[in-house]
Parts: sequence; C-alpha cells; structure tokens
Amino acid sequence: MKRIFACLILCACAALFMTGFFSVPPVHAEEAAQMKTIPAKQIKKEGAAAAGIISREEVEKARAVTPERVYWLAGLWLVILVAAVLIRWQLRHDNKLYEEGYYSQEL
Amino acid sequence: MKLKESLLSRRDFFTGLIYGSLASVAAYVAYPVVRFLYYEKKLPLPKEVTITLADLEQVSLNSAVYFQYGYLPGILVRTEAGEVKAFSAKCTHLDCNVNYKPDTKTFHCACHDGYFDITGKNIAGPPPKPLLAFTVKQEGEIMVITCPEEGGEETKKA
Amino acid sequence: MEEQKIQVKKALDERLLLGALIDLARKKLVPVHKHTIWYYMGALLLILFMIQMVTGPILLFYYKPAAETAYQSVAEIMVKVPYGWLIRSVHHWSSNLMIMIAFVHFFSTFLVKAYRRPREFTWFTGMIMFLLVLFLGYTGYTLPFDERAFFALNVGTDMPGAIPVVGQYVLQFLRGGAQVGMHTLNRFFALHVGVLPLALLVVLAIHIILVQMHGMSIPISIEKKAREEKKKIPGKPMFPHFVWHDAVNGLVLVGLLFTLAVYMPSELGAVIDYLKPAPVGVKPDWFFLWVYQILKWIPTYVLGIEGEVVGITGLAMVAAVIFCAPFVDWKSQHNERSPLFTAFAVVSLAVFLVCTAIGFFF
Repeated sequence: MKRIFACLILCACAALFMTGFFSVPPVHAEEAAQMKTIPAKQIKKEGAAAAGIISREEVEKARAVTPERVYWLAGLWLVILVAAVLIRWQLRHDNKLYEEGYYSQEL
Repeated sequence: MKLKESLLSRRDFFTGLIYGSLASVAAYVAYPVVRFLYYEKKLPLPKEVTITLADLEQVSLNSAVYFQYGYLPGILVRTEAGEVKAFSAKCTHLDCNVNYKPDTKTFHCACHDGYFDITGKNIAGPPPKPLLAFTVKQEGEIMVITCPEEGGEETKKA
Repeated sequence: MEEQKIQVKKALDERLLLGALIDLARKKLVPVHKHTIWYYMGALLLILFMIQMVTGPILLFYYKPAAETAYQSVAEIMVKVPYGWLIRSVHHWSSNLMIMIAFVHFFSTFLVKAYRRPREFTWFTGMIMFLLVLFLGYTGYTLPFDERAFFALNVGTDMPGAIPVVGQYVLQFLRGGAQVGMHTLNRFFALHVGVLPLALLVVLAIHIILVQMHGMSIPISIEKKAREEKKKIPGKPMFPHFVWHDAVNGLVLVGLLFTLAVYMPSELGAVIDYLKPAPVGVKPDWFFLWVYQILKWIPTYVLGIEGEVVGITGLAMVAAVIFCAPFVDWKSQHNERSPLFTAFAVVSLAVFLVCTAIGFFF
C-alpha cells in the first residue's frame, strides 16, 4: 500500500517536471516584441553639461581635514580608551590570579 | 526588598561591561560603514524630449510606441481621435514596462496583470497608482514632452 | 542567572561541540619571556585582514572595474558617496599597516628561527602569505587607474619579463596581452578581488591551524638558558590573558588606522595621458622601494647579461634561500645556535631598511 502511494506521488512529480520541461512560452508573450520605438531627442538641463565628471580639485577638497572629522575621531578614541581601560583593569585582576596559581603556569 | 544573592557575579558584571564597551566601539565604527552603503545618487533627467511630427505621423492611430526619456522608458500613444498622450512606461506596481492594447484601449502590465486606462489611471490589478503622465505640447514641427515630477529629477538609492 | 548560563552552554555544546574547542583553548599557554612581544604580530595581522575583508567588498559596490570608468568611480567614492573617503582611506592604510606588520612578523620569526622543526610548514605558509599580501598591495593601488597606477602597471609587469625562460609568459599573463591596456586592469581587478583574497584565506586557515597545533615557538637562546638553569619557561594562558592583550592591541591599532585615514586620506593621481612621459620622481609604493633601489644600483650589463635579469634572478635566489630556511639553516633544526644564518638574517633586515630609506628620501 505504501509502495503504491509512493509510486503515485513519484509519477505526479515526474509529470509536473515534464510539463515544466517541455512548456513553450505563452503565445501572447510574443506580442510584446512587436512594440516599436520612436526616436526622441533628449534636451539636457542648463548647467548639467559636464554632469558627473568629478575633477581632481573636488577630490582634493573632499580629502581636507574638517573639524567634524576631527570630532568624530576624538569620539572614537574616547570609546577606545574606555574599552582599553576596562580591559586592562580586568587583565590586572587576571594577572593577580595567575600569580596566585589559579591558572597553570608552566608549559 | 533585598535579594539574598546577587543576580550577577562581580566578574560577570565586569565582563558584561567590557563586551558592552567593545560593542560600542564596533557600533561607532559601523555607522560610517552603514551610511556608506546608503548612497542616494541623483540621476539626472533631461529638461524635455522632442519628437518630430514626421516621426509621429508614422505612428498609426490607436497604437503606441516606446521612447526614451533619460533613464525612464516612455510610452507614447496616438488615440483614435489623433490625440497624442505620453506616459512613463513603468508600471506603478513593480516597475515592469507596460504594453498598449488597441482592442480595449488600455495599458496592460504583463507581469501581474495590471491595467491602466487611456488617461493612465489604474483600473484593474495590483498597480496602486496611475501611470506617471508626461505633458505633451506641440511647438511648430516638433512635439515637446516634459516630465513634471519634482522639476524633473528623481533620486535613486544605489 | 547561573542556571540559565549553564543551560545555554550545554545546548550550544551539544550542537556545536563548543566544549571541545573551549577545552583546547583553556589548555593553550603562551610562553612568557623577553621576546613575547613578537607573538602579538599575528593577531594584529588577522585584525587588519578582517578590516580589509569588510572595507574591500563594500568599496566594490561603487568601484567600476573598466579602463573608462575606474578613475571616475574612485573619484565618486571620494567626493559623492557618504564616508567614501573614510572607507577608501581605511582600506588603503589598513593595507599599508598590514604590509608593514607582515614585514615585522616575517623578520621577527626569521631572526628567532621560528621556522625550525616542527614548524616548517607554518613557515612555508607564512612566506606564501607574505608574497600574497605584497601582491595584493600592488594590485590594489593599480585599480584607480590614475597616472601612478599606469606606470606601476607598466613597470611592475615589465619586471617579471626579465625572468629567464618564463619571463615573457608571466608578463603576458599579468598584462592580458603584450601591452598594458584595459585587459590589464581587468586582470588586476580579478586578482585583487577574487584570486588573491581566496588564496590568502585558504593559506591563512592552514597557517592558523598549524600554529594552534604546534603552539608558539620559543627562541633557542631562551630554551638553552632554561635548560642550563634547570628552570621551566613560564606560560600564561591564551584565555583570558592574551586575548585581553590582543583586544587592547587591536583597539589601539584601529584607533591608529582611523587617525591615519582622517589626517592622511588616500590620494587620487592625475588622469592617465598615454602620450605623456613618466613624471619625474615616479617610484613604486614604499614596500617595493627596496627592490627599486637595488635594481637602480645594478649596472646596465653585468658580465654580458642584462642588469635587470641579474637583479631579479639574484633577488629570487635570495628569496628561495629564505623560503628554504628550515633546510638551509640545518643547525637550528637541532636547536643549536647558528650565528652565520643569524648574520644573514640581520644583513637582510639592514639591506631592506637602508634601501627602503634611500629609495624614499632620494
């Protein structure tokens, strides 16, 4: 009984697979290919001329060290300092434990 | 109410502090990284687009043709009465290009069966908004088509 | 709280076998002696590599790898993309620091003879990674395709052409043809973004596994002293002590990296003009200055052979000797002092430092 059931399921899956495998694109999809195009002249906006070309001067300006960047960096060093101080505090405690023999000492 | 014993050992509290501080360093540095990934690039659209009347005469009545409007695909339809209408060909549902059906005088989006009428209004299927309509003006021997939205510029999230 | 912690640990251990890993970690001890500081270099390199693996792919979102578009895409990253200047500068400085610390790591392991038995393969994988990192640095600064990159491409791909027998094949492979052009940029992009990082990842994995298996190497002098004094060399646990050390070092490194990125952001050279002569003072990046300087000193012809061929072949032979150090320095294999090879190592370091300095300042 189980085997017949399994066979039926297998046949159904095979049938589904075959239909997908042999299917042809639907007829009406070919309609889309028949749409024509019409030439259209693009009129650019004024001042949009050298649009997108970035000059070396602009790159140099972007490289300048601004106060905002320095403040951001100062903030970063602050959080780094806090983390480093906390870790070193913990390390001091762990070193003391090491000296007291809490951890194995010899290779 | 005083607890008999602490919920956290001193070591755990301190380890938590350390992980928290490391996480804050990571978050501080992550902000520029995330911001970097969200770049709103302004893609320029042309001021207007012109089509010659001669080319327009080639378009039969009650039919449509595609044209380029900057990076937008446009669809230009010449109605039975000879009126010229132009819309953005991008379906307002999920951006597929729409097609013109002369028999029903509607625009059809094949992706999810969306329909727009001749004025661009969404009439059936999933599209939530009408097609973006371009203004069409005749100036002598040419037809001038302009995109009215936001003075002609759209932002695109890179 | 303790109960929940134990439950979570048990659940993870059952599924991820973390217990075995944690056991291994607990047992790992790092030797403590006067040369322990050199042990930190590996972790620093790993942190920098991870930074590169983040900043590199995100730069890929905006970089356009074709001869016509590369320069403008880098300019866009610098000017238009939010924090583009920062990400690019971090990537650039991280690569410079990585190469610098790689030199330190290489010379320190070379001088303390960490290549001796049983760590030969750790040495070989390390040397391969060193070459990969240098090549990554080189391919990276050609990608903006500015004037400097163009000359780097020309000269850098010309030099392997001097290798006897296989030179022309190597040159054509690197250039994607006989001349430097758009195919060259494509190749260098593929190398920098795909081939080299993947190769580095694979070799790095092997290197790290070997290091964990063998533990840290102890210099011969320290081992000898311990044996003579009949004392055991102290070892501190990796977890938590050295992990905390690495964390602090990593934090300082990240701070230094971002400071360099903010105060000295990456440059973008002039647009390539194929008809311009090489600009006066054009030089390779700092990590190749030693090669540049040595080749400058070699006369045009040596005993009838082209000077460049002599130079490249000579350097390749020295590199081969260093690569085969575990076998050449046979005395160290028996844990004996080998002053000759140590002298060779010191001379290599001196030559590298002096040539780099001269190449930089003159």
